[in-house]
Amino acid sequence: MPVTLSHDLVTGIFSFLLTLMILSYLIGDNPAFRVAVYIFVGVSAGYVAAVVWWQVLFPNLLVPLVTGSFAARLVPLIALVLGILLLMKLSPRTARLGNPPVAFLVGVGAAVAVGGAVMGTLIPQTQASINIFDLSNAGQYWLERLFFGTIMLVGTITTLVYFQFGARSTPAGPQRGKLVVILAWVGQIFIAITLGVLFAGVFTAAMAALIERLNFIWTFLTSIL
Amino acid sequence: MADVLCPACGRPNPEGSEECQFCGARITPPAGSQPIKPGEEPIRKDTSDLEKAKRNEEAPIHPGDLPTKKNTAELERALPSWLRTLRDGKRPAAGESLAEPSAQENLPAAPQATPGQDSSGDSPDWLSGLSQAASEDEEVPNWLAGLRSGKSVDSASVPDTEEQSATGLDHTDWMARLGGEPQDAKTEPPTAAQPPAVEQLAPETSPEPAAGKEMPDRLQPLQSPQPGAQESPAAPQGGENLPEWLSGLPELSAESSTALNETGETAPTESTPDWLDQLKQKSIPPEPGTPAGGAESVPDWLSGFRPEPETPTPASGENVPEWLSNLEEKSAPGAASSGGLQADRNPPAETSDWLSQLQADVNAAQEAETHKDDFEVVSESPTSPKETGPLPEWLTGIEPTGPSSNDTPALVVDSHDNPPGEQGGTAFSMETPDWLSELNPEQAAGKASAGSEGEADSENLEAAELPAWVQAMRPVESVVETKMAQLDESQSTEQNGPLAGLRGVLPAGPGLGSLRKPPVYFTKLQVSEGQTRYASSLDRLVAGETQPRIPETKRLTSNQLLRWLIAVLLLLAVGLPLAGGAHANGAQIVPATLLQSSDMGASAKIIDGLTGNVPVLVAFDYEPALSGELEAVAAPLMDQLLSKGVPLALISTSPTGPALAEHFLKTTSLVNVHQYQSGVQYADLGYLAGGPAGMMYFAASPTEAVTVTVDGQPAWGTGPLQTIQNLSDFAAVIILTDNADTGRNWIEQAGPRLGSAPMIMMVSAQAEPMIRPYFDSGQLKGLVSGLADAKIYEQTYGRPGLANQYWDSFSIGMLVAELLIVAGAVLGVVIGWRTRRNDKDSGEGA
Repeated sequence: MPVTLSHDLVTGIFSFLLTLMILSYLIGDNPAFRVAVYIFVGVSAGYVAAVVWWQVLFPNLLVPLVTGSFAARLVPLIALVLGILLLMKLSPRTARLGNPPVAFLVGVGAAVAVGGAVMGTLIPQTQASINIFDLSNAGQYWLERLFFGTIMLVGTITTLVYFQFGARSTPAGPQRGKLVVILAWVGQIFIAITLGVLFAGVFTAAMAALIERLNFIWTFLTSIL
Repeated sequence: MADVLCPACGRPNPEGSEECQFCGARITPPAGSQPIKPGEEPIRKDTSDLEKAKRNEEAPIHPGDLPTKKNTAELERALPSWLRTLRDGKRPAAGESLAEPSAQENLPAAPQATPGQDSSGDSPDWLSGLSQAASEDEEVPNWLAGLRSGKSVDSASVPDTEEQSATGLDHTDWMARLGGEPQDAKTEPPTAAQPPAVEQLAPETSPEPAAGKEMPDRLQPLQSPQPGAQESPAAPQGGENLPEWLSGLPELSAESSTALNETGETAPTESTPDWLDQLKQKSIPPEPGTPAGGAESVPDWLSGFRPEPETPTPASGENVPEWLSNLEEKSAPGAASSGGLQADRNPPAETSDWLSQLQADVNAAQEAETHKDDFEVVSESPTSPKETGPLPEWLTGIEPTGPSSNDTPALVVDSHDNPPGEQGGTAFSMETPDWLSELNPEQAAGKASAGSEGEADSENLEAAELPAWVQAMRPVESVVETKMAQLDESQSTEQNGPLAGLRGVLPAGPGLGSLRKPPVYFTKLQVSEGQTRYASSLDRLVAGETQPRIPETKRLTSNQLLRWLIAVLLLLAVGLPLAGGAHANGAQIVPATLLQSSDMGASAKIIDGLTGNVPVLVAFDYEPALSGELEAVAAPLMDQLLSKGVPLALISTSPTGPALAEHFLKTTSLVNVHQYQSGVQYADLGYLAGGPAGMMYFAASPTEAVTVTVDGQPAWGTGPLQTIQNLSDFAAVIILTDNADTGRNWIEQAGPRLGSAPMIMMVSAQAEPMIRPYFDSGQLKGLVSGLADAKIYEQTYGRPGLANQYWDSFSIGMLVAELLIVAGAVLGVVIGWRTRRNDKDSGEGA
C-alpha cells in the first residue's frame, strides 16, 4: 500500500520514532530515550490538564457556579474554597492554609478506603476462605477443593506467622519458638511463590506490550515499504 | 688647770691626783668603773639566767594564771639581794633628800610626799621602803644631780653652804662630774631655804631605829654601828608603816653621811653587801653609802625619772614605779642618755624591764583605785608644775633642760640619743623584756667594754629570787615565748612577708611534712586480646579511610553482553513469529486448544446473557503503556458485546482513560468493525476524579457524579444512558485495568452497589494474581487476564484477533524468557557456588 501523507502516517511516524527512542534504552540511558520520556511526560501533563479542566472543573465547578441554583452553587463553592486553600500549599508562607483541604481529602480517602477494604475485601475474602472447605457443593471436585483450600489456609497462616516478630529472650538472645520458626519458614515459601507469580504477571504484561510494539513497528515498516 | 674635788670630802685636789690629799679617798674611779657621762645609755644586763634558775625550781606559770595576791611583807625576805642593796644604796641619799622637804610637801600629787597620807600602807610592802626612801629623798641620783647642777648653774638658790655640802654629801663631785657642775658650785653656800629643809627632814628618819628589831639581820649591822641615827630627825608619819628593817635605813644613811662629812670614815663594811664591799674596796672604800655608790645602785627603773622634764616627779620619785619611769623615759628626750650613765654602773640594771613593768602595773592597779589623782598628776604633768605651786628644786632644774611639756608630746624620743635601731626598743620598752634587749649588739658590745667590775658585780650578785606573785605577774609573752623557744627551737621564724616574726607557722622544709612516695601511674594500657583485635580493626578502618580508593573495574562488558544477549534472544523470540507471519496463514506454533480461560468461560457466559437494550458500564482504567495487552485481552469479549449492540457507558478513573477508550473502540481489531458512535451506541463519561471516593460517589449516584460526557453533552436523560439512574441499572460492569489496586477499588466501592449486575474484570497479566481471589470469592463474575484468556475467547468465538496475532510471539517469547530465567538461575547458583568456594579458599589461604 502506498504511503500517503495522512494522519495515520504522521502518527505512525511519530509513534515509530518514539518507540525506537524508548527501545534505545536497550543500549543504556541515552538522549533519545530521555527525549521520548520528556515528550511523554509533557504530553501526558498537558493532556491531563486539559482533561481535568474540560471534564472536571468546567462541568462540575464552573458551570454549577454560573448556571446552577443556590443549592447547586453551594457545594461547588465549598469545593472551590477548598481548592483555593489547597493551592496555598504552593507557598511555604500560606502552606498552613492548605491543611484543611488536605485533611479533608485524607480523611475522606481513609474512610473510603477502610470502609471499602472491610466491606469489599476483608469480610468477603474471609468468608470465601471459609467457604472453600464447604464441600457440600463441591461434587466430585471436593478433594481438589479441599486441597486448594488447605493450601490457601496453610499459605495464609504461615504467611501471617512469618510476619509475627515476637520472640522470647533467651541467654543466646531473643529467639522464636520452634513451631513459629517452622511456620514462618513455610510462610516464607508461600511469599516467595507469590512474588514469583507477580513477577511472572509483570513479565507477561511486559512481553505482551513488547509484542504489541514490535507488531506496530513491523506493521508500520511493512506498510511504508 | 682645775682642781679635782674629792668625791668623799669634797675638797679640791690637784688635777691628776688619784687619791684625796685630805681624806685619802680615791678620786679617780677604778678602772672598771668608768664615770657616767651624760648621754650614755644604760647597759642592761641579762637576768634571764637568774630567772631560769628560779623558774626551774618553782612550778611553771602557765599563761592565763591569775596572780596570787600575797602579803608581800612576808616576802620581803624573798627580795633579791640587789633589791635590798638598792634600798641600802638609797640610805645615804636620805639625808640628801631631806634638803627638799618643802618641795615634796608642795606636791599634792605626790603621794609619798604627803606625810599624812599613808601611801605605804596601800602600796606594796616592798615598795613601802622605797616610798619612805623616796620621801626621805636621801639619795639624789647622779643624773638628778646633774640636772640639778645644771639648774643650779642658772639658779642662784643652789646651796653653797658647807652645811649643804656636808648634808649633801651625796651631792659630791660625782654628781658634779655627771652634771658637769664645777666644784665651786658645791662650795657655794647653801641657800636660806635648804638648811631648814635638812633640819625638817632630819627628824623624819629619827624614829626608824625603833623599828630596827624587824630589820633583817644583814641590815642590822648597818644600823647598829650608827648611833647618830638616833639623833636624826624623826621620820615622818609614813615612816611608821615602813618595814622595820627599812626604818633604819635613813638613820644609816644620815649617819653615814654625817660620818663621812665629819670624820671621813667609812661605814662598817660588814654590814654592806658583798658587791658593795667590793665597790668600796675598789673605788671608794670610805664611802659605801655615798651617792657614788648609791648612784651605781640606782636601778634603771629609777633612772627613768631622770630625764623626765615634763613630769614634775616629786621628791619621792624614787618610789615611782618603773612603769612611770618608762613613761618618763619615753617622753623625755634625754632619758636614754641619762639612763645610760646609770646603766653602766648600776648592778640593779640587770633587773629586767618586764619586772619593773609588772611592778609598775601592780602599782598602777593598786594606786589607780586609791590614788587616781596621782595618775592624773602624771598624765597632767605638763601643767601640774604651774598649777600645784612650787616644784622641787630638782624638778625646777629639769624644766629648762627638757623641752616644753606643753609643746612636746609625752612619748617623744630623742633620735639623737637613741640610734635608729634603738628607737623601737625605747618606744616599746614597756613591752620588751630586758633580757630581750640584750640582743642589741651595741649594748652587748658596751657590756663587753664595761670592764671587769661589772662582771665581778654580776658574779657577786645573788641569784634573783622572784616572788611567786611577781612571777605570776610576768608577761605571758615572756613565759610563752621562752617555752616556745625551748620547744620549737627547730622551727624557723619567718623573716619576710606578712608572717614575719611568727615561728613554726609554715613548714621549714619538706622534711617536716609527711612525705610519701608519689603514686605511680602505669602508662601501659591493660587490654585484652579482643580489645586489641578491635583496636587493630578500627585502626585498619581509619587507615583505609585515609587511603585513596581505587574504583574496582566492573565487568560491564559481560553485563552489557548478557543484556544484549537476552535482548536479542527475546527480540528474536518475539519478532520472528511476527515477522514470519504464521498467524496470518492461520498456522499456530502453539496450538490454542491446549489453553483454557482462567474463569472457565464465565465471562463469555455473562456477555452472552446480556440483552441489547441495557447499557453496560465499561471502565477503562489502564495506562497507555499496557494498552496493547489490554486491547488484545478485551477485544474478543468487547467484540462479542458490541456485536449484540449493547450500548456502552465509558468511564475512567485515569485521565488517559477516555482517550484510550476512544482509541480502543476506533482502532482495535474485532472492535472497530462495529463502528460504535459516541452518543449513539456509547456515552463516554470521561474522567472520574477522586479515585476510590469518586468510584464510591459514582457507584452511589452515577448521575450526580458525572453529569456530562466528554463531548459536553448531558450524560443522563438522553442517549444510551437515559434509563440509568443507579449503578445497578447497568446490565454489567466491565473493568479493564492493568492495576490490581484499581481493580480492587472498583470491587470494594462499586461491588456492594452492583446489585444483580455482574462485574467482569479484564485485567493485565500482572494484576491477575491480586484480582484472582475476588473472582474465587464470587465478587467478580468473570475474569479475563492476559493474552492467554484472550486467545481462548478468540478461539471460543472463532474470531481471531490481536491475541491470535500475538500468540506465537508471546508463547515463544515466554518460553525463551523461561529458559533464560532457568539459565540465569543455574548461572546464579554456579556463580554463587564459585564465589563461596573462592572466598573459602581465600579464607583458608589467609
